[in-house]
Amino acid sequence: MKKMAAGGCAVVFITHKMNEVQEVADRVTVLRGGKVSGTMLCRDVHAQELVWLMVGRKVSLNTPHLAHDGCGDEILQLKDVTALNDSGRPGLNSVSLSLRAGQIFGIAGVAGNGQKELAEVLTGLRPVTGGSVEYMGELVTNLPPAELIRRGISYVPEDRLGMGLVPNLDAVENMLLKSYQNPEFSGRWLIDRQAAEARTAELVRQYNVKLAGLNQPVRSMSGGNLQKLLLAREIAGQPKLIVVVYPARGLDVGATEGIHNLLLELRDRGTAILLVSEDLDELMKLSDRVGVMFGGLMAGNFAIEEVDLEEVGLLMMGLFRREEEQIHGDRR
Amino acid sequence: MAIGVKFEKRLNPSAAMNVTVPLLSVLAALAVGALFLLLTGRDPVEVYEAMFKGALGSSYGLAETVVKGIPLMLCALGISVAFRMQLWNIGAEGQFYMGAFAASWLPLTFPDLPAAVMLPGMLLLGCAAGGLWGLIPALLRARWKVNEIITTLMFNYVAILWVDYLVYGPWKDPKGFNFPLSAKFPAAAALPTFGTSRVHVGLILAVLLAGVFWVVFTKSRWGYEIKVIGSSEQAARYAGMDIKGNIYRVMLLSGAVCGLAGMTEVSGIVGRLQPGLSPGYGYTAIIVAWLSKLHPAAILVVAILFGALQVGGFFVQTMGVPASVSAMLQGAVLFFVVGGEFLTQYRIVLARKEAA
Repeated sequence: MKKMAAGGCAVVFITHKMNEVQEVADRVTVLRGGKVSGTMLCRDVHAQELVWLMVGRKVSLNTPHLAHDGCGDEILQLKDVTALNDSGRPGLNSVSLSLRAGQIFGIAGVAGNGQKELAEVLTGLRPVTGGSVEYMGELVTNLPPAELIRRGISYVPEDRLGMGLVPNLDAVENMLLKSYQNPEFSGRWLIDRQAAEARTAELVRQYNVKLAGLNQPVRSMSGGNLQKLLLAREIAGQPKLIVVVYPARGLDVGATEGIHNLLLELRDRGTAILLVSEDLDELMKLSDRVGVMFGGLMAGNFAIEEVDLEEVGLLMMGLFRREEEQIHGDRR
Repeated sequence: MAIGVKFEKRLNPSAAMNVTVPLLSVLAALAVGALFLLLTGRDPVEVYEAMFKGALGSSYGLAETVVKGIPLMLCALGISVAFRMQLWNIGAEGQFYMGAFAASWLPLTFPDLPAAVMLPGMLLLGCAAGGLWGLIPALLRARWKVNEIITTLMFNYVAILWVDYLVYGPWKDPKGFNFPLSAKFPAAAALPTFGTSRVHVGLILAVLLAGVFWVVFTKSRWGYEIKVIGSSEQAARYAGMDIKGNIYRVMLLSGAVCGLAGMTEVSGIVGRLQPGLSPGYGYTAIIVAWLSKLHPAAILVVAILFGALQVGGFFVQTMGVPASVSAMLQGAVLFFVVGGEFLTQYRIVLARKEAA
């Protein structure tokens, strides 16, 4: 790349890895939320300044709330969990974490650093290649998805239309996705459409989902309503643990607010929530603990009142190796 | 500036189009067929009229139409199970032949069995063989992601040649003047027919199956699983559904029903194993299933129409029109149905676009 630049070629290089920027770039522009938040000559900047520009503030504006104190028993414990990503390379690298009832554990990080793999490992969709997953005091490593669903693990995936909901099916059929075998909605062979319809209507009312009709394919619904329907279904299963990935992505302010309130309510009812997000504001607002993922590692893990956004930003950029000493020194 | 053509996906394809598009497709196919007939110097109206009269105008023609319709119904029903899960079983023809082969084994080996044992035995064997013939591509698909379109298609040739081998070789009737035919089945191996016609009880089986399939597809847990897997495999996995298991089950059933078609054909119509048992029922059934939008009741009706097309094609031979006119019409129908399918899903938008 440097050769190309030296040869008179203008190179635009897009990355979220800080050390790469410092290695190759002459000038650097930081984008945040689709806007340029700063441009400067590379030799003039300090890595931390860049992180501030990325995170959006020099010091945290919202004072971290205290972890709410309703936490109960340990629901989930991961010990040195390792898994491969879709291309067969290590995607999760010896990740450990613990999550209690009534606690929201936020996972910060740039997309593609192991969040998806973590969520899929917890829901049985991706095989664990090392380490152990303990749920409600029992070893559940590599149990099939159906069994984990039965035991009360819910999942709101990143891909809400296509994985979480089936575009061609109507709202009732989508509501049934995980419960079509429950005696409430089906006998040994046949599905009781009426019972399912009644339940769907109830959920739609309760969660204020706007849709064209219960019998209409859900693909025409708006993102916010899809997410509400999806959350409604996942919550209706009365989960002990719910894994929520990028819940507010692509939603407007009002819909985001609604989703956040749902999650907080769920937490207050004692559900353990693993929240994966790229939005630090969202994480700071909701989480009781925040972990940072980078390159498949859990690069940091803080109680909310100890979170230093600057440090989180650095960790997200993968700067923990260089400044290991400093971070180790900071860890409490 | 230039005018560009763009295809926009329709949000909600209208219900009316689901009916009108197939009908228009058939009319368009008839129009294309008429064009060819005109080009070869014949009066299309006359030819179509003769086809229609031949197939539906007499009780004999009508019975023959139903006779041709039965294997089409069964194969299309079998195909529809797989198609509902977006498993493209193109192997109905081979499963039909394997069903015919296995069903023939019983009367040829134990000719003295009573009908009460013979017919159920043949039925079971026919279904089992067809099902297993469908299961092999299913295993390849589920285990190693081998494309089932290719494997099921290739398996057709294997099955057809296998039956050829048997009737040219080990199963050739010693008293058959060296014709490639098996020995004639005993009377106990013949499916009962209605009156003096050749219409056999396979018709009742097809109607019953269509009813059962309708319930399975629209009301049952299993039908729901098939629908979800067919719509989004990712969502099915997420919901904890057993995708591999369903690939096996669906292909087993799909093949078994096509095998049943083979059994009813050797037992109810032919009375022996011979080459060329099927004039391509397994392929025509794909068109039938597609034109019916995989709806079991529609399959029964459309299969009869295609049976009529075949019988009609047979009748116009006396006018010097080759019977392949019906094959051409079938092809044209499929062509227009698939094209029409596109139009129900997309709308064509003419828009100005910037010249590059």
